[in-house]
Amino acid sequence: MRAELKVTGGKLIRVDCAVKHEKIASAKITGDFFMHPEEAISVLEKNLVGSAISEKDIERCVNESLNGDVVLVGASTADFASVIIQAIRGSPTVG
Amino acid sequence: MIDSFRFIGLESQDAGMNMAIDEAIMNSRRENRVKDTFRLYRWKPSAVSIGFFQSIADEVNLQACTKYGVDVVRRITGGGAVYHDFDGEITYSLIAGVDNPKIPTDILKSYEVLCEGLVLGLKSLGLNARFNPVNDIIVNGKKISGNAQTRKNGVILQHGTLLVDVNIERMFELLKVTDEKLRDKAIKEVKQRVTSTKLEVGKLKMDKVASSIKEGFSASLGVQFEEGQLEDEEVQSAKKIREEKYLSKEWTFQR
Repeated sequence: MRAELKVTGGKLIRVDCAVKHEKIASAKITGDFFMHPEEAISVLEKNLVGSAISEKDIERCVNESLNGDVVLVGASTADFASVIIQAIRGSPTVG
Repeated sequence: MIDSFRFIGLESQDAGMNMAIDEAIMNSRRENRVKDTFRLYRWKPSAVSIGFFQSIADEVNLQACTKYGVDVVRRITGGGAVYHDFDGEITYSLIAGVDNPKIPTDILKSYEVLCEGLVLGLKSLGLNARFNPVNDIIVNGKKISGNAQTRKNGVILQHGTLLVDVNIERMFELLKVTDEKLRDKAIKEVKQRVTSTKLEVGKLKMDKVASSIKEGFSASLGVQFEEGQLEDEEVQSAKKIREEKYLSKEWTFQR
């Protein structure tokens, strides 16, 4: 399912994800935000796959993936976690 | 290496080559083969560039791009989709070592410092320009420039646009809107939020605008811009990067 958030200041975060057996099966994060280094987005997407879907699990996954070395501009880790959680809530659960 | 920049004057390339040249300069700067560099360019043919994180399917009307012969390219920088009209825009790129003391380590602050060059250039043309965080420059409350930055292997690349003229209708044919039912409303809103040098002070020659941008950056950074050109190795490298990366479906359609 898809969810999106227009962050204050105008940046968009869009998440497409699928949930299977109460775990994230796939996740794609797109938008016009800035993330340094850019490759950190792939790390986050990869780490989300297999993650449990509680808010706490998602927040932990986002915080661990976008750790101190990653600089976000125009969005925060809380923004990313929030959109991912919204997308999960909209996801039809399979299995 | 720090008190002067190599300056590469206004030239026109296709979208893939423009992005490849920026990347080739980053590579040669990383290897200390060239000075920090400032470059001005136009897009021929006109092009749409999308931010590194954007979904091409969500952002770009590929059919319309084909219809109008408009290139589509994915940038290595984040940020939004941009329509680069050959007749309506000048793009700059600044490539510098992260050790350049004029450029703050803090990314947010560095946007402001680097954008000041464009602000000064616009002021010299009579526009009431100012930086609007995170990455825009506005004139009388309307956006005239968007900027995007990346840092890789000790090198900063910031590139940005300056609208000289603006064709909102064409832009909205090439870029998708979230809700088709709201297309007319979106066009109206963007017309109220975006401006160009032509709308503000009348038609200006591209060379004059380019010269003002150059002088603005040189003054704001307090560095000499020395006329230069790409090294042969950079040209060869850019051609390869264009072909293998920016023209590839793997890169362009990765998101």
